[in-house]
Amino acid sequence: MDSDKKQHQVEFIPAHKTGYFGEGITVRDAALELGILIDSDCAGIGSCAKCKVEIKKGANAPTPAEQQVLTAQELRKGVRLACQSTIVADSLCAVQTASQLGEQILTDGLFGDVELKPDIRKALVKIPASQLGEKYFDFEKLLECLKHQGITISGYNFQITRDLARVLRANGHTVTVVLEQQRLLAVEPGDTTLILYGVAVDIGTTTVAAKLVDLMSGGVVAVNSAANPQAAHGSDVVSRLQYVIQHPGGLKRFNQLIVKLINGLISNLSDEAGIDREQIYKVVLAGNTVMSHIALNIDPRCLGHKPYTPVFQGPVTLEAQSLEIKIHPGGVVYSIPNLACFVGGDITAVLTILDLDKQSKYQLAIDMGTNGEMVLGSKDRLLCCSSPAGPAWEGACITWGMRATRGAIERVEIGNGGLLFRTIGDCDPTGICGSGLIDIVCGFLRAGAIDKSGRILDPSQLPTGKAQWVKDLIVQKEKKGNDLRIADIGDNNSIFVSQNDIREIQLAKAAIASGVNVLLEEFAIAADEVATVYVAGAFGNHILARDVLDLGLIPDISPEKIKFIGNAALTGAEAILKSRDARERAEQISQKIEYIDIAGQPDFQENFVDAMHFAN
Amino acid sequence: MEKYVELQESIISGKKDKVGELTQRFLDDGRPAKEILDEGLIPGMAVVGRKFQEGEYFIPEMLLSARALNVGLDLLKPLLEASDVKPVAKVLVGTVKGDIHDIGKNLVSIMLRGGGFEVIDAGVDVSPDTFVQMAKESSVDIVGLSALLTTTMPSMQETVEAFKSDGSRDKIKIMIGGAPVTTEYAEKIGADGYAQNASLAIEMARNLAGV
Repeated sequence: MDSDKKQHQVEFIPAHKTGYFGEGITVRDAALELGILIDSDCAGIGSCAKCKVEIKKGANAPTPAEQQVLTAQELRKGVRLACQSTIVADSLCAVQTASQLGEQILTDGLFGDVELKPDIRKALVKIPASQLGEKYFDFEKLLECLKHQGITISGYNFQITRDLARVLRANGHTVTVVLEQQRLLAVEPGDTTLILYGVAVDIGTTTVAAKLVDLMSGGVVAVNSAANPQAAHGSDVVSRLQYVIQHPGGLKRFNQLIVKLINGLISNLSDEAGIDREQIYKVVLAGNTVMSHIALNIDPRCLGHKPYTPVFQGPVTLEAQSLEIKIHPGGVVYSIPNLACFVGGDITAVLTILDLDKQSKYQLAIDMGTNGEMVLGSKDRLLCCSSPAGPAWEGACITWGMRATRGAIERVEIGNGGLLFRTIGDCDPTGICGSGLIDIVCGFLRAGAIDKSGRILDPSQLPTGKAQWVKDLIVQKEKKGNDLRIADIGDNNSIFVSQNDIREIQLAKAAIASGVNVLLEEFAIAADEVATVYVAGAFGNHILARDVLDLGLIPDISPEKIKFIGNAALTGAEAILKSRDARERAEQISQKIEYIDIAGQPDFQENFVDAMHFAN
Repeated sequence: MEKYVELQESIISGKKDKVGELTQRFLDDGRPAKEILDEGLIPGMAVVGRKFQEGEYFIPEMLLSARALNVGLDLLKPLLEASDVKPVAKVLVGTVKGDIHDIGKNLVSIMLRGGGFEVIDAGVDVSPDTFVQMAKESSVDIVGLSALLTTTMPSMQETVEAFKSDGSRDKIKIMIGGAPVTTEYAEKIGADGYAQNASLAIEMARNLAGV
């Protein structure tokens, strides 16, 4: 912090968090410092208007960018952009944070529950009190008692010994030890053996999602997600790499952003569950290679150019404190092993719950993230690749796109005389999330308003006899193609999908489809030889099998083979948190999978361009 | 000219067989190759560029038209050379070192060919020295550098520098493009121009060639 600058008190409501900040810091950065997460997906340049806050006291004059995107009415009410508005006086800001927004992450039990057998566990120890004249050391006595219970500890945990004298005697020499395999993480006074929590985190390029898991019952207690704040400096992994390479201190800055975000999520989860964050002892991280390098503060620069070399594969277990992750000070952070190049621990996590490596028939797993990742194979051979799909699936870089949170249009039905939609939380629509976008594109394709090339037709180009309601949803424009009207939101405004939005989706889907094609070609098999296609992603709702086919993500295959598995990277991270077996499987899988670079394939361009058309 | 409308439309809709057939028929009828190029192929491709810019066409449609264009150009090329018709200018294009993405570069090549330029394609992952050497060998007027990855943009600067240290910087014009590139970046590294998309690349190339 710039301590020489004038400090102002800033309070955020309804979170009721207050801090002191130097003059000139943006409202968004101040909020992040306090663990309040505000979404945005432009480069913090004030163009996406997704970081609106209400400054009730202490606002400075609106910037030109704010005057451009905010209405006069909003400006009068004190609505401002958190990325533009800076602190110039003591302030009061009202922010709809992610925790207010109500999260929509699919948590259905799509998989058989893993057996609850975490690496992390607790044991109750009753220690005889010391007597005068006895040769007695608190720590060694504790180790001796543990040994009697069949628990051998390796190493000397200095951190624990500092406060051990008090802890041992606080509750009549009854203590609870927290163990991670052979490691002693902490000693708690009294019997706390029924309380133990862990957090699974999926660090996506665009969206970061986290689950709080009760490691005694195996239940998921709370789920939360937020936009990755690094997205302010570029939407894909390559632009993040560039930032790290070109800005001195860029890695540290990105690391701090993601650590603060994870801490904010952990704080939200703990508040929601009504637990103390010091009851959390383990965090499991899943993320693509670039994200995991940055989260562990490891310079990823060689991933920025050919031959795209990561520094580490992992698995890595680190002290939470060394990463500034705020759980119990003795807690640990486990980073799931990466696979190769850009294919990271997120897809390892997905594979951990899918058992592709045990099947005799071919299976395909597609993780439709900003960095798309695909795996094809069977027990004999598994092959993975990655493909930069862009953030369209998560609603970024789309005019009315948003993450799958409250207010997002998540399901759209087009047909039977009109367009029907449903929002997350059943409230008024504020934007469209990935599953809604996919419904819209496929719905209008089937209605004939979008042709196979992705073009939104003029109403006059639709066949005569085509229902008038379809034509009425097309807004004809002079330049840059037509719009599709999705929902009216008053003041003569409507939520729409533009021609350019459709092009973004075409690029995203071509990236995935061409990756799938490369894998099929490598195995020299036809798509219908694949027994199951698993589709994962943080879209909001399920995508329908027929949509997967109409989009043309995979060539002809029967729809019943397609299974949607939601945010499977997060589910996989949860499994690894809950089960030693799952963790060991993740580590085995990371060793045996092969990798193929798709952009280096000779016919890749043709393959990619061909995949831009819709299949319908 | 009225009689070239069908040829133009065949370019626009990417019908390569039709383009081949019509071009051959005009030649058989004794029309000059230069006229077929100027009245048929180039105006057709100009419409394709406009449609691309207006969102009506996307990359696959543009490549389809490009394939059709190439059929026509292949028929005309020997005749144009024989009658000593000069191209608007000679352009060397390539994707810079460290970057293997070629779709953007190929689209630019297409539009330039469709605009009457002679295009030499250096391919992808092209080192600064290779650019300098190829530019000399073919005595080109313009060099076009492409990069898709933000991390490979510095290779553009290295290429500009390589032309400087070789002493041939003044003999050629350098234009750059690619998703992460901006006008500011072009100015910063001392390139002569930047074009946001393949369609605008022709205008830039015309400006640089002084036509």
